[in-house]
Amino acid sequence: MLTNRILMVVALLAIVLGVVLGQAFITWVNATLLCLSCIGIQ
Amino acid sequence: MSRLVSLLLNTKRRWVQAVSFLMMNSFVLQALKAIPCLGMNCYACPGAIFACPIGTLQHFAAIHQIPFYTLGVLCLIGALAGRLACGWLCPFGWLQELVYGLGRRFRWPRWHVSERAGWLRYAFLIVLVGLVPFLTLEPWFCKLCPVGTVEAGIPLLLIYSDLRAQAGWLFVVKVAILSGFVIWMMSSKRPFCRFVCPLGAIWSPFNRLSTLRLAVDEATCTRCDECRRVCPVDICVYENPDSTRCIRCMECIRVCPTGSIRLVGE
Repeated sequence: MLTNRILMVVALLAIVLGVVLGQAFITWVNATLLCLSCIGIQ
Repeated sequence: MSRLVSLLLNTKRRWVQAVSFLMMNSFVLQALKAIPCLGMNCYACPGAIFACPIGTLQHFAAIHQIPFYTLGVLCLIGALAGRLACGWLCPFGWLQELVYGLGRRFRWPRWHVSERAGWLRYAFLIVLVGLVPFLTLEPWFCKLCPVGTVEAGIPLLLIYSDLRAQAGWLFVVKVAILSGFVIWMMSSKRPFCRFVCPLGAIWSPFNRLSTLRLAVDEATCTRCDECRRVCPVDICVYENPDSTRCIRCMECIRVCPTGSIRLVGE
């Protein structure tokens, strides 16, 4: 299905763009720090 | 494709779910926290190795950036397999199925909620995961999320007394929400997945567009409703094989007496 192929290409491009913008690193930092909201403190 | 179908049908899904939960919380390779988790698994859990995608999306909303990376990963998975990860990998989905099984064993009364309320998960996604963090700079879905309560809040507060001293009304609210969901899980199949989960809301539209899809041979289908009986999200598969609620668990394929349901792909 063409739509499916286009979606996958767009998704891959978004991943590459995100990595280039440093978003993978931001994700790692955010996930590594203790999330006080998640545990119900803040 | 036939090999994949065969592998999925011959694998005990409950074992895959259990192994997935253990792997996602195995406390190894913290570098993997750059990768969005393929399921609802709180990254505040002491053992979590991946990043909760919903927490990540809220964070990017709070810092006013478009989350290309996280959305790209989620869209890629959705385009390949729709909501397959919901049915095979998500720890909270697994928990809901276990609790529902307990409810059946103890003859807990069943509670049917209209599927029309399924739009709520899109509302939670847009409002609590997108709009509210954008405006308040706080991850409000995380503050209320029952997954975080059961995987991170309760374990961490049990282990660390100094954290326990800081818990206040928010923790009480989180525990109340979790308790409500546990009671609901005993009465209904996967209520969080069907009415709340923002991750499921992201993947739901992909069910109709993904490489992997379900198809029903209407010529051989006898409408015996066995598919609906085993479906973890209560779908009448022969009416809507690519339902946005479908979590691609393949239980309907296993149980269909005439073999009318099949997995198709391109």
